[in-house]
Amino acid sequence: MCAVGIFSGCTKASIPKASSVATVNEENASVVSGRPTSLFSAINPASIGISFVHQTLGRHDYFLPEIIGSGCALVDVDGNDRVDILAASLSSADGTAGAQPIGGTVEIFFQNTNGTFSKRDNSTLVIAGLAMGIAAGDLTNDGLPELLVTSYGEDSLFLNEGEGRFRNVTSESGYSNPAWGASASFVDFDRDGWLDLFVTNYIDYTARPCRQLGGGNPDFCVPHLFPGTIDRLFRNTSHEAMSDETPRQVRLQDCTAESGLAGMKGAGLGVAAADFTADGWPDLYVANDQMANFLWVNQRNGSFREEAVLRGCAYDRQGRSQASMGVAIDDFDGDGLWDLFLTHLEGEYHTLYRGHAGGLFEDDTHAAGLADVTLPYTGFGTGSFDIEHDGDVDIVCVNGRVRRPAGFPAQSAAYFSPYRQRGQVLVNRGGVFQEQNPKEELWLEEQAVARGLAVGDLDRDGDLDLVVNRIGEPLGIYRNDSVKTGHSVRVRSVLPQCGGRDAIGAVITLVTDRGVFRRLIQPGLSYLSSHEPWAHFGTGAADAVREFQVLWPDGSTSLHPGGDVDREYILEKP
Amino acid sequence: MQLVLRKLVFLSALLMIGCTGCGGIHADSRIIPDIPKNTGFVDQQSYPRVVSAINSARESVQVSPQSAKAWGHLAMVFDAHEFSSQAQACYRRAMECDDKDPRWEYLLASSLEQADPQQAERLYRRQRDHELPGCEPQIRLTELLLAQNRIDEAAAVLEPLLRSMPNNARVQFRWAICCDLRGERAKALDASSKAVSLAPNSPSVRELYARLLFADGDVDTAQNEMKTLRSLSQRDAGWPDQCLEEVRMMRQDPSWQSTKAQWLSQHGQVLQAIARFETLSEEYPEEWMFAIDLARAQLSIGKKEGAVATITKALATHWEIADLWKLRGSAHLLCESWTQACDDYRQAIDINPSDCAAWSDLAFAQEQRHLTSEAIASLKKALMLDPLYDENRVRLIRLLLEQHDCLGAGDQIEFLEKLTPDHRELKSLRKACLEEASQSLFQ
Repeated sequence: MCAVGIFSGCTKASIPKASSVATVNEENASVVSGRPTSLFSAINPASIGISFVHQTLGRHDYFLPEIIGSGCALVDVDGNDRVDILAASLSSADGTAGAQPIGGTVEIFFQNTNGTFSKRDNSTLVIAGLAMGIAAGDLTNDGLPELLVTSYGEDSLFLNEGEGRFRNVTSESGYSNPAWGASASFVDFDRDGWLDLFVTNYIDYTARPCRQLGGGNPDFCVPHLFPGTIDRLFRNTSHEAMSDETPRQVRLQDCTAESGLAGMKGAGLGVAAADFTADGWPDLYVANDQMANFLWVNQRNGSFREEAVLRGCAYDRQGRSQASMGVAIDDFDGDGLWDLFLTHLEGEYHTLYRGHAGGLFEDDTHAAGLADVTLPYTGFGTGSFDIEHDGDVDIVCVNGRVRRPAGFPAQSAAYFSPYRQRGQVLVNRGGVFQEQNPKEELWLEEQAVARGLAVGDLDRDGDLDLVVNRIGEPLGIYRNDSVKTGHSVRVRSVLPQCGGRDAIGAVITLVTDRGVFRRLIQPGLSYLSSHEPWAHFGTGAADAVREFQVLWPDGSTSLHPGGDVDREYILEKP
Repeated sequence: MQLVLRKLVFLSALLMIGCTGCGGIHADSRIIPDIPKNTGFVDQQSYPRVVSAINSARESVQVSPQSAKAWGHLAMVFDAHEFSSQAQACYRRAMECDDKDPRWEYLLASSLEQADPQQAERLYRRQRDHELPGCEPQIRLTELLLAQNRIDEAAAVLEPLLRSMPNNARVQFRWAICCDLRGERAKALDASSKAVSLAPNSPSVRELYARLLFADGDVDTAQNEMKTLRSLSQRDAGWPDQCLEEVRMMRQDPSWQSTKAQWLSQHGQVLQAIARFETLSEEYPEEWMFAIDLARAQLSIGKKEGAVATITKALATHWEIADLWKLRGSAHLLCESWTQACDDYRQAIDINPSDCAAWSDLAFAQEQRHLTSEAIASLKKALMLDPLYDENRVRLIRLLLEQHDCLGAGDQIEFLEKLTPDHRELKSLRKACLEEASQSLFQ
């Protein structure tokens, strides 16, 4: 019973904890490994009804999409107030070496009221290309999120028809992205109340042999051998096609050229849409692989201007480009300005750009204690949130190499084994981060080629859990079991004027007697993934909320009364 | 008896010296680093030239085990092919054999920067600039210190360099970074401005200057700097370093050989480049990029039929490579074989539908065959992939006018005006569109 009830909000005391040695038995089969002092415990996905295993093409010829991997998403797709889990897979079945791509899938696991997950008829979405990223956002303003699945090959856009059913509307919507789609983000860039769509594209890839110089072994090619591509921006014009007879229509107009985005080619892998310049209009940040990142600053007239170099968030502090993959946005230092955290290649630290007034950024990685600890890892998916509710925002990164380490033979037992690395939990101690000792976190000793990471409250217990998509392996699910040193509040912000959808782009400020906390509602972050679209606050010792201040995506603001901590709030735009 | 004893002692001594000597030589031979066994170079016999270069260098060491030059050369060959630990061992032996030559210490330090920055720092500190023309250990030291966030120490090294090398762009650039990290913006701007005047074509120098200007509130000048920047080459070539360049020139891997051959081709020595590409194509038939390099070089001197033959041969085993089809299409274009060009571009597009250049060139071939509707469709595809490529839009407008589609042409002209308001052909295109519209009215 307890095994079934893990995600139905059972109190922690009723769930048996595994001993320090990882054991699996009939009674606590759901918890694979954990310690009393662990921040997270690995959950056996099968025990909660999740049967997903990420499929590659089985080519074994260093075909680049195979090492780029796929993402995952946490979103309530069927409107039952329980977050569902979505996971992308490159291929729908193992292929033989040298075979043509046979298409990917996204599998949807719906959360039941008892906290387990299950599949339904048609809950496997078939994708034309090799499925990479998942982004969720309500394009039709009916309260149900649509899904964009980016691919190596054709991207696929799905209309949510309700009750967890999706229909592929790619061609009828006008959406077309001929390039290799990576991460995507829904954002109302023109503030008209309809979510638009921004997609970053990777490289113009031609499969070719590459050999490591130090050894002559074959390996995956480096991206700078291939031309960059332009990113794509789509304006939502669905309202123009809707009528009483056809209330649910998706229409997207490609405005890439007019927006100015076609002026720069990059190797985009991660995206972040937020108002970085504090002018009330969302900007678009692109994490590029082995070249300068982009910051497209909204000019408020439908166009954007690229200013990452000028604003100090294109390179590291020495002016060197880095191989950027995953992105997190948060106010790590509590100064009311957004900071950026990017994951990078082994040998390059994961960078923390602190935001300064005027929309400027500074690489503050060393001062934050993040440089040395992240140097040995190739980071991908990342999430920032308060793990222990002490009031400081922490960081989780999942890692996995893209090049075989020197001296590792080419012919090894398992094709992906040389690329495995462990994840990292970076705990914020007053502005300086300390890496959680992996010996204290058994799940961190587990190595994998991890890619997508989505963060959300799977078990509705007020803290945030993790879902990780790992190349060629089952989904990693990690429950937050940290000993809490403070309180928490979860907030959902909705737009009744827009069918009750989530207010993506809203900024929630929580005011307490002990301090002010600020969060952005933007699930389209991390790497190829989508977080749960709620704001989560660790309030530390503050035991009451004085009020909420909301800056809505259209630029208006509202105040909402506070109340108790350790509960959820739903704030509606007046 | 005494004489016999003396002879015995003398002979024993000779024997001992001989054994020590031989043992010494034998000991040197035994510790000459080799390529590890579990590498593609050895196991799969990939890149035989690399193996040959390393073996040749090893032989030189075996012949002259006390030669710093021989050990140094072997070190550089290992270093060039990223065998770091082997390179470091050989640099150390070279230093032992000749501690007067500063090259080995400098190259050892540079090789150790990632793996053992503390050791690299010690080595750089022992060196003085000007000992090695074209190599700058003190500047590399400051870069190492800045990478470790030891800003004040980096500044302490930079200050005397500023006095001794005031016209060194790299010194000014690093000093600007140092000042910026210390919050001394005015000094940073001043140094950065000097760096730009000394190295106006360096993207990283200009980028830093633009960023500092922007942070200082001089937005317009910063934006102008960015415009200048965009016109420079996108990839920063880095700072020239004679010692490291010498190491780089020792590379024997095929991609480097191809890069050198392309350099020859770009600098007018095309026949030499063709000879090198031919050799590479024969030595590495599985690497189709060399067929492309060869065909491009052949096309550049008008050997169109030769290029077609080269690519046709490569396509026999690499039929799935879009770039090969595309290049053969281009060769057919130059031969004015429009139908074959169309066929080849179609093949390329079937494999890689997101290749803007293939769509654009297909459109050209279709135009030559007077397949106007198809050419219009192809140009539209190309423009979807790269909306800012104005030449394609102009061609599309002309074809639409040819087909008397004034509305379509008008839309495209509007688009062109929005994207490039000062396009040189706008006026004439508008005029042509108006004329076409009037003719249609009268008809």
